[in-house]
Amino acid sequence: MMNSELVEQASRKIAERIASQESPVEAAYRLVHLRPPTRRETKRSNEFLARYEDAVNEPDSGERLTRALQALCRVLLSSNEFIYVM
Amino acid sequence: MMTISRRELPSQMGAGFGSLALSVLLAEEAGAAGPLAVRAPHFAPRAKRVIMLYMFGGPSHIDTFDPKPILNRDSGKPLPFAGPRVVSFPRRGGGLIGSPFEFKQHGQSGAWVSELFPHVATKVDDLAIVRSMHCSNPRHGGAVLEWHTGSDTFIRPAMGSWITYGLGSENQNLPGYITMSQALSEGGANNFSSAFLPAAHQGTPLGYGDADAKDARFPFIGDGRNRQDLQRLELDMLGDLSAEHRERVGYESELESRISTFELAFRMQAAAPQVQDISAETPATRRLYGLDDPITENFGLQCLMARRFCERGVRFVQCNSNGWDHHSHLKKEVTEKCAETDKPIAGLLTDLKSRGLLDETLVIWGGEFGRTPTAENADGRDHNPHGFTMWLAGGGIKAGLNLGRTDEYGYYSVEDKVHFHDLHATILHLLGLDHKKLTYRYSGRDFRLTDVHGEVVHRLLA
Repeated sequence: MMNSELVEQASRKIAERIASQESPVEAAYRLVHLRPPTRRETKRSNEFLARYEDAVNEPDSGERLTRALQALCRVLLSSNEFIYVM
Repeated sequence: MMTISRRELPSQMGAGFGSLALSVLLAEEAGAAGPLAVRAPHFAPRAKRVIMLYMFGGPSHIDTFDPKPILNRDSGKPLPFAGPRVVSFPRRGGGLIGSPFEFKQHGQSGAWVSELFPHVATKVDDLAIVRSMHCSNPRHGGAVLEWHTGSDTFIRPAMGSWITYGLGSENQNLPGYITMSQALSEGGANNFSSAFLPAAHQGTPLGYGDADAKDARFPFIGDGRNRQDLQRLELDMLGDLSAEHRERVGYESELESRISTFELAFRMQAAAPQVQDISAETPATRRLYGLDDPITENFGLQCLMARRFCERGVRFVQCNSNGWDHHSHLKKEVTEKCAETDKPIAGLLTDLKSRGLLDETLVIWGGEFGRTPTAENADGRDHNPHGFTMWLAGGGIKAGLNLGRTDEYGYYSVEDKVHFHDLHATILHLLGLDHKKLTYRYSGRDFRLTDVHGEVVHRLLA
């Protein structure tokens, strides 16, 4: 799932769409899960973005953020909450 | 703003205090180590793992392992006793039809094998041949399911799922139950599904029925370009989200399985390309499995992969040869199917033995039923669940045994009858599992692979 073309493309599109927004984490949750993130989720997501940006080895800061947001979206698209309606 | 997720809405409408107690029970169940962690058997096992060589369609016993001179003598005459009440194609049936193939006795055991299996014939002293198999369903769908799951009526866990549920798997970087090139018809995925067992015991298909084995790859496993450290960050994040999700909704087999599947897939990115890279196999090994011949290449590659999976501790591996349903043109078509599989099967047995793996690996050959001694469409045979042949080799099997007998025409099993349920019980027994104790509570009662049936066939044991 996380390696599939479809998730690769969809997560990139969402990341590009939300990168310039004031709170991209909230935008990602609203687009994928149709709800705002909890306070805990916001905190965890921001930590994730910071760690990912540190690790990703990308000189351009805009692209660095987009790549990190794409990774976050890939995680959200792979989560149970997105995949199953129960 | 108050938010209710799509999932929470129905549960908040219905759940009461009962769910509190349930969440405690489920937390305990979820607390164990990974779902494929090795678990101790009930008693000392004779085999550690299984290779199933599945001949989909129903191979003719009468033309391969069960010679019938009286059938040949009476060829063209009517069947001299009543046939079964239910047959698959009643209006196409004809009189008796003898086998066009020559049989000889082989090895110390003197087992009869027809000219269709010249390579397997050299291995008879390693085999326990059961000529008295029977099952309960004359159609592919039911009989295929009955072989794979023990039930031809309801969706039940596959034998491979029961076995990984009972024993776990010895390699945490590969699935515990792999089936190669399995047909998607006649029950399809239900033949390798875990049903109500924890979903991590689902069989992992590699390729599918109509595709070449050499094109079979685990899907979406990545090509090694992904940076592992970045993926690790993503998986940790996903794990955290799943943990919160679990706090909200309680234990769910599907959720646990999805988490463990993501983690397994992460580890498989390194392990799977390695196991599927056969470039280091010697030319002699390739020839042994028939990889140098386009006729044997497809099944040969499956057999070679089975050995490679076994070496790496995969618990249950199935190789599938499809197209054994010979309702007409029997002579030509059964000859072709045997030619495709004969050398690879013998090669697998030779290779397992020379690597010291045969003693601890149980190899099983057979299909969902055999075929009738009466003709169908003039030159074919109909389905016959009442008497047919399967054979076993390796771990704990009495090598060189010829067990059971069908009647003089090969229609019904008449002596030392072995039902699928009995063979299932025996397979579990060889793996150190008591088929009556390997249970799973679901929907208010304990379930088993053998349901309320099955006797261990002690005569098959070494």
